[in-house]
This record gives sequence, structure tokens and C-alpha cells, in this order.
Amino acid sequence: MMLRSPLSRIIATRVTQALATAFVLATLCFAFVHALPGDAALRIAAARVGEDRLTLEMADRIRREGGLDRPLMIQYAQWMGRLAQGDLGKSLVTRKPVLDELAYHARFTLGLGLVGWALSYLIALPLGLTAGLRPGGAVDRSSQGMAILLASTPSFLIGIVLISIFALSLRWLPPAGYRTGWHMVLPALTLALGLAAYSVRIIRNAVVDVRSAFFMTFAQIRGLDAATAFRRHGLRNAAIPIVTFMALQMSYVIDGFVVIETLFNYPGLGDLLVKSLLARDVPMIMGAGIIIGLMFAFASLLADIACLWLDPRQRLRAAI
Amino acid sequence: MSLLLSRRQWMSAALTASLVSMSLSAAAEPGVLRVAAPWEYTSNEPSDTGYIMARMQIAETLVMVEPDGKLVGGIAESWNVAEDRLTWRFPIRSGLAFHDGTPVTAEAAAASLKLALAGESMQQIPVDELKADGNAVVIRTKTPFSHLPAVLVDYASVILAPKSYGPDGKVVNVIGSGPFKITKIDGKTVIELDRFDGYRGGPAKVAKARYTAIPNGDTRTNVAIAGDADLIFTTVPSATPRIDAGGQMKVASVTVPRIRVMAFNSGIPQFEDARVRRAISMAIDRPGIASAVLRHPGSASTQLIPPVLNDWHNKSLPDYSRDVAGARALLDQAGWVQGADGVRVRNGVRLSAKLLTISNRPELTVIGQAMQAHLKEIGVEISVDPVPSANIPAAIRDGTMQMTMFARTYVNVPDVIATVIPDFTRERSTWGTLNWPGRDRIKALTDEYVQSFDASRKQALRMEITKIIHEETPVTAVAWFEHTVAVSSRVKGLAIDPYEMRYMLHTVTLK
Repeated sequence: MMLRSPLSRIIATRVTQALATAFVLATLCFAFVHALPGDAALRIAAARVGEDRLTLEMADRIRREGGLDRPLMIQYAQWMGRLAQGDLGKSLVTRKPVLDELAYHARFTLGLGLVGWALSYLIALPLGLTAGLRPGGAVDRSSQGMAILLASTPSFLIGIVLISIFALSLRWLPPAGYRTGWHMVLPALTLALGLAAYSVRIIRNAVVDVRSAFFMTFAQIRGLDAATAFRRHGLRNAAIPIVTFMALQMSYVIDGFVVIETLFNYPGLGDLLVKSLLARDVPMIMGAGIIIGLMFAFASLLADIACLWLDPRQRLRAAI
Repeated sequence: MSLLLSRRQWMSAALTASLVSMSLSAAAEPGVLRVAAPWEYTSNEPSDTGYIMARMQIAETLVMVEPDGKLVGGIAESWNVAEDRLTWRFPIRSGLAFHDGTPVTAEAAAASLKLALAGESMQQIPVDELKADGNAVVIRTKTPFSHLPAVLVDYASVILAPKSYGPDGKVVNVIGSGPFKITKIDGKTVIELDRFDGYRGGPAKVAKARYTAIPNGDTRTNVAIAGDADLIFTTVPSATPRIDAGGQMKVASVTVPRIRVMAFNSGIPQFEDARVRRAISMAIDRPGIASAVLRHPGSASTQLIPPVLNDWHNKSLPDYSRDVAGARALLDQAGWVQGADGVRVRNGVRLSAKLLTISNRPELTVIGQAMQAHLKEIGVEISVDPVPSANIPAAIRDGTMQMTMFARTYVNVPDVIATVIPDFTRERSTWGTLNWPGRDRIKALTDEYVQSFDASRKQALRMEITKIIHEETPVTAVAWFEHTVAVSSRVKGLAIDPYEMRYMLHTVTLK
């Protein structure tokens, strides 16, 4: 069947790409997990019952039950066979289905990610627009300084500073946990500051580029004042690189800010992935790798659709 | 002065109001005892997470241990062993109920125990038969097993109601009989609990409790400084001054039978001679490590087993004390001579080894580095290699372990014998000795101990076992452990259990 609309074509291309990505990811995850040094069964046993209860017999049983003693090619074939049926297997530590575990933890990461991401644009959009409309002005220079400072500060350090001020010194907010909305404020702010550091400059540069574009000069020659010209022609054009960047950032959020989640005891995907890696929970690591990869592909698809909607030139090119 | 507020004043008033409301939101919840600890609730299986069920007092075992080490009846009222020394009878307390209201019967207890005994941690019991007989659980062992009551304190043997189990024998709902019942489990992190009004000792004083797993030590410290919990178990020792200075919680501590142990591979040329192992033990400055690294002088060990374990602490043994000259003399006697670079050599072998420590116990690496300096003084060279904890049993199994330091509890069950057997009687233990020739002597003694019902003979055996370990030094204790608990000012009546079997929450009141 011919796919006529540009949107259908893009979706079809992206789905094909996502499937290919999933296959490559599954293979890479399998290779990396099995290339890690050390005895996976011992690590899994330690994660299940703790160091004190760990015995070699227990590790041997886990090795047998989890099929970790089979030849690697057989394990790979079994893994790909299950994957083709949409079965990600069970965690070797919790014995729960990997998909259930991922779904539980993903909602925390998505919740935190969305709030942090939205908060970052609440900060970055007004600052970036103001800086872009007056390049070299006070807002531009000060936001550039702040952006450089925040971008060069690791997120755990931003988190520690926020915890020190708002949780430990002022005691306004809880330092860790996820039970109430208040628990989300500090991790979301940590995330937002880190994201805004980049997006404020992207927005500023997009605005500056658009303002100096030929079509803006032409609009003004036609008699539009600067503000009207920017509103009618500038905003939409400036939005294209910004939307692409927002989607890329959203994908970055999806895989969980490992350090932030650990620091704030927030049970998201990043936290799950780190613990699974430490415990060498093979099915969980491989399942998480694939799901996170597919979520990246989905975010990228959304960005393409948004750009297509914003930019008629892209629709035209896609239709040819 | 104008009564009208300026715009700036309005803004600051609004800001203050919002911050006050935020501050209130983070305040303690009345009637809810907030408990935090490092361990995640990864499954419902007692063999995995029974320690959370036992510590949070959700489920109880047939036999329990008091903080002073005395074994007492839990679900069983008492116990006795028949003249054949094989048949044990555990009468169930009358009037007990599970959280679902069903009675705790001998049948229910025996069925739950049967499933527990199938797990690895309970397989040390040589069970011949386990059944309900009248109001009692009867266990017959194949051979005399004198410390059976102590082994039944094991959290893996918590007694759960019949409705807890699915058709495959896996636990689907945790229905215990302890003073707290589960109302909600949220992932691996949070367990919400209500007081169980039908508890045998009377209901707990707090109506609700919440368990939160906080695996990261720094995060636990932050929560303690902010006062966002009522009890935080296992705080980081070095954070105690900061927590105390925060003013929200105070850290209480008690020495527990968990030990930072250094073990040798007694089969390699460097450590095959007991004099070398003793010399290394003598060169360690334990008080210095306890004060400077652990910030707790009381944790400097004087022998393997701390005094809190009265029965196993051997008062007749000489204390570990630093004696550099004595250590050098022992190495001279063993034929190790100082090389050009200061490291001793014998038959072309350098007295040098790699010390494996556990990376998620950062203090062990610092202790290892301190010992590097101590041992250099006697011509022994060590390099410190922090590794994931499971790498140590793997290195012991494949024989590549030279020296290692780890933290080991000697009271998985309240009788140390249950740890001595796996750690000191095998060629390759999981956590402990490797290629130690003295294991056969210990095996003979532990076999006799397990079969003996004579209290005085058992005491003599304990002293003999600890003496051999002390003298032959297949392992040496570097420091004992402090069980630390950060306690908020609204908590009253807390008792700390050095056996870490229970958090004793039923005695706590909230201001």
C-alpha cells in the first residue's frame, strides 16, 4: 500500500527504524551484559538475600534456574525468541515480570521528567526570548553567565546545593522521597536548572537567527513593525530548532537522571537501571535498554511530527 | 505608619505564607511512626526479605531472641526436646491470631515452617519429620541438633497465615501475627502499616507506621539532618556529628555482633605460616583505626567476637594489641628477611598481597589504606582493591583471594555456631577462611557442639574454638560494628536490639 501523506510516511519510516534500533539494542545489551567481568549469579544472589546470606549453593541454583550456565549463543537465541513475542522475561532479583517493573518505575521518571522539563521551559522561554530580542543586553549577558555556570555544574552538585539550602538549612522541603507533591519540588528543580542551562541559549540563538533572517527584513520592508513581524513570521520559524531540541531533551529525561534519582531516593527508571546493573539482573538490564531505546525513538518521532506541523516547507519536501 | 502594604510588602508576605505552608507540609505526621532503613522490599518471600518482616514486626518466628541474647518463645510458648535428643516439641501459644483474623494453629505454623525449611538458609537443619501434633509443632531431626531453637529465630522461618501462600507455595500476601500489619506496599520503597489490635502482647502504642527504604547512605544522612523521619536505622558512622548538630535527630548506637574481618588465604606461600598471619594481626593499629576512621573508639576489636555475645566472647584470650617489635620478631622466626626495598622476602617470594575490600562499604577501603601503612612498618606490602561484594566469595571459590576484608554478622541466628560452621570448617568458605589447615580441628569441635546438650561442655567447646581461631589467625577482626539509629525527639521508649532481629517498634510512643 502506498503511503501518500507525509505523516504516514514519516511514521512508517520511524517505526521501521525503531524496530531495527530495538534489534541492534537487544544484541548490544546482550553482548555488553555478558561481557561484564564477575559472576552474575553471585551478584544476583547477593541482591536477593544480602551479603550475609549469600552462599555459593544459592548462586549455583540461580545460575541453573536463570539459564546463565547455558552457552551464550543459546542464551542469545532464547532471548531474541522471547523478545519477538514481546516477552521481556522476569527479573532474577524480584522474580516479577520485567515489563511490570519497568512500567512501575517509568511512571516516576516520566512524572518527574515532565515536571522538570516543563519547569525548565518556564525558566528558559522568557529568559531566552528576552535575551534573543536584545542581544548583548543585560538579560542576555547575565543569562549567558548563569547558563555557563549551570551547564558546567554536574546535576548532583546542583541537587546537593538545593538540598543544603531548602531541606537542611531552611527545612522548607523534604530532602528525599516521592510520597507527596512536595517531594518532587527539589528533584524537579534540579532537573529544570540543568535543562534550562542549555535551552535558554538555544532559544536565544534561534530568536537572534530568525530576527536577522531575510524574510524578517522583507516583512519589515512590507511595512510590518518589528513586533508584528516577529509574531507573524519569527515565532514559528524560531520554534523549529527549539521544538527539535525540546524533544531531544525529553528523550534525555526519559532515561532517568540516574544521579538525581539516587540522590533524592526517587524510584525512577535510572535508579532501577543502576540497581539492576549492580545486581547484574540480566533480563532487567536488557529489558530496560530496549524500552528506553524505543522511548527515545518515540520522542524523536514526536519531534518530527511537530516540525512537520510547524514548517510547511518540510511537508512539501516530504510530499515530493 | 501607613496601614496599607506596599507591593514589595505584599510579595514578601505571600512568599512567607507559601513557605510556611511548604514547611508545614514537610512536618511530621501525627500518629505515624516513620521508619527508614537501607533495605528495599524486593519480594514477598521470607527467605529474601524476611528480615524486613521480622524487624518491622509484621511476622514472628516460633522462637525469638531478647536484646540481651536470651531465647524466648515467640509463636511457640516454649520448647522441649525428648530423651532421644531428636524430637523437639514447640507448643503454640493459645489465643494467637493472624492479621486476617484466622487463629494461629499448629497446623498453620507447621505448614508455613515446611515451606521455609525448603529454602537454602534453613537447610542446615537435618529435618527428618515436621508435623503438627495437637497444639504443638513437632520437629524430629536425623541427628542431634542442639541449637535448633536458635536456628528457628532465623527470619526466613517467619510464620505466615495459610492465606499468604499461592497454589505454588509462593507468598502472595504477607499475613503475619506481629504487632503491625501491612496495609499497602508501594514498589520496593514504602510499606504502610497499621497497628494490629489483636497482638498477643497488647497493641503497639503507635497507630500507624511507615517503612521507607533509603539505600543511599548520604541520602539517609540528609533525611536525618532534615528530621524527615522518626527512626533511621544504620546511619553512616562518620555522619553522626552532622546529624546530631542538625538538632532534629540524635544518633544512638550499640555494639553489635557484626565484625569487620580480614581473612587470609592460608594456602599461599605468603600466609601459610600462622606466625605471619599473627604478625600482621599484631601490626594493625586498631584503636587508631577506630578513632580516626570510624570515629568510634569503642569499635576497636580485642578478639573476633565482641563482649555483647557473652557466650562466645572468650575473656581468657589476650587482647589484640599493637606490637610492631613482636610482629617483626615473628616474621624473622618464620624466615622472612627484609629485602632491598623494605619488603620481606623468603625463597624468592615477596611478602606482598592484594587486599580485596567491598566497594559499597567505603570505610573498609580507608581502613585498608591505613593498614597498608601499618604493615609497611613490618615489611609487608599490600595493595587495596575495592570490588563489588559478590566478587569476594567468587575469589575465595576460585582460590585467587590472597587477603580480603569484609563485614560479617556472626548472628544470622543467635548462636555463633551457625556462622562458625560455614566460615571455619570448609576448605573454601563463602565468607571467611580459604585453605586453612585448622579447619578439621574446628570441624571436630563444631560437630561435637551441635550434638551436645551439656551446657558446660558446650561452653568449653566455645572457648576452645575461639582460642584456636585467635591463635592460628585464619581471620582477624579489625573492628566491631556499631548499630546506629537516628532517633527524632518525638520518639520515646525505644530499645535497640543488638541482634538486629526486631526494631522494637511496639515499645515506642510518639510525643
